[in-house]
Amino acid sequence: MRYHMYPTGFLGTQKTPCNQNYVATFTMTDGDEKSLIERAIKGESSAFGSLYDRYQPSIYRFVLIKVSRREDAEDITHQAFLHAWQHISTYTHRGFPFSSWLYRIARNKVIDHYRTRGREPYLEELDAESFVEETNLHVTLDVRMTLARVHRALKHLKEEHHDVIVMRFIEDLSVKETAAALGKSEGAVKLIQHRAIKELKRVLESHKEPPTGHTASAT
Amino acid sequence: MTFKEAFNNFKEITPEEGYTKRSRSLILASTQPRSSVSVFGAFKIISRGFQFGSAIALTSLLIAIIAGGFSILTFLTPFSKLPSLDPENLRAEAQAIDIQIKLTGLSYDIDEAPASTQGQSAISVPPAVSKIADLKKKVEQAAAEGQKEPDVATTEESVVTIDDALEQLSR
Repeated sequence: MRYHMYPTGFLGTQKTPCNQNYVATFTMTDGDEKSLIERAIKGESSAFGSLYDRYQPSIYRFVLIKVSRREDAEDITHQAFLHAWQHISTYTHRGFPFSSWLYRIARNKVIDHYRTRGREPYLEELDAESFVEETNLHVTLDVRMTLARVHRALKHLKEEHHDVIVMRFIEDLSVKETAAALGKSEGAVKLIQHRAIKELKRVLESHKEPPTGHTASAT
Repeated sequence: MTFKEAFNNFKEITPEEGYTKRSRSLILASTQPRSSVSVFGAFKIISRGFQFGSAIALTSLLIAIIAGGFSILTFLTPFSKLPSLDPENLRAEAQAIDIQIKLTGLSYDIDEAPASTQGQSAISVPPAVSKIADLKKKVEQAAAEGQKEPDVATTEESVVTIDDALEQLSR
């Protein structure tokens, strides 16, 4: 699979599959993003559309890893962006990236989702396997099993540990962005990350099926 | 497969194209609530200003009470008007009191002190102690002369027993 590599301002380099034409392979600098936000605040929908194209895949991925079900992830991602669009006039730039604001909204929507629906009985094996099915990833059976195992281990983490691992190592957010999204200090995020990696290793080892060569390469 | 590789696989998760198009169009078609300055909006601004102002006023009042409450109370209290409770009067009265302490309770039994001690020391010795001392001298003299120890109970001094002497000493 080929990827377009483009600088993403605050987010660093991110891959986007070529076969998705609607995710334009544009280059967005900080100034462009700031301009888009200002125009979106004024009510220009096309500007918000550009921001949506830019951040929707990341937010969707973040939500799907949290809720494990594609339908729920789609619903929550839609609600998060709808909320962002309807309340973008309240957004004020305080030195944090726009993505942190979106992650925070998405995180709150996930919390609301579990609060209104209640947590369903956690069928660990089925959940992990079904999650890989939901991702539509075209990977080998071995990789699928590893992904299921890692996802299952992530599910065992505390919520903030889970969020930090996903934001730092899957979404490649910086410590500052993660801190802004979680409403914590950068020092606290570093501490949580350290504990989360430690806990993740412990959980994976306790399952007796650690991924091959799973030494702390994530650190 | 390392953590990094597993996480890189997670990065490839993307939403379906159809869902994204649909969601995008729905969001952008939705009306954005506009912040208009209506009558209700103006009323809201005024009420918020009033709330803020009242909060500031109450806080200032609280600070004034804490900072100067005690000094205000001295002006406001009715007790400050009573002459008997006036601090100046009380201080003047306290200075006018003539303090005369008479050491009437002290007396010395110099007359009753034994003759042997009168010349040596001005310290008075109670009579019971002198009697015990005399009795001890007599016993020592008798022992030195080889006489039998005098019967204390039969002597004249036996009128004062040891218990009586101790009791007198304890007074």
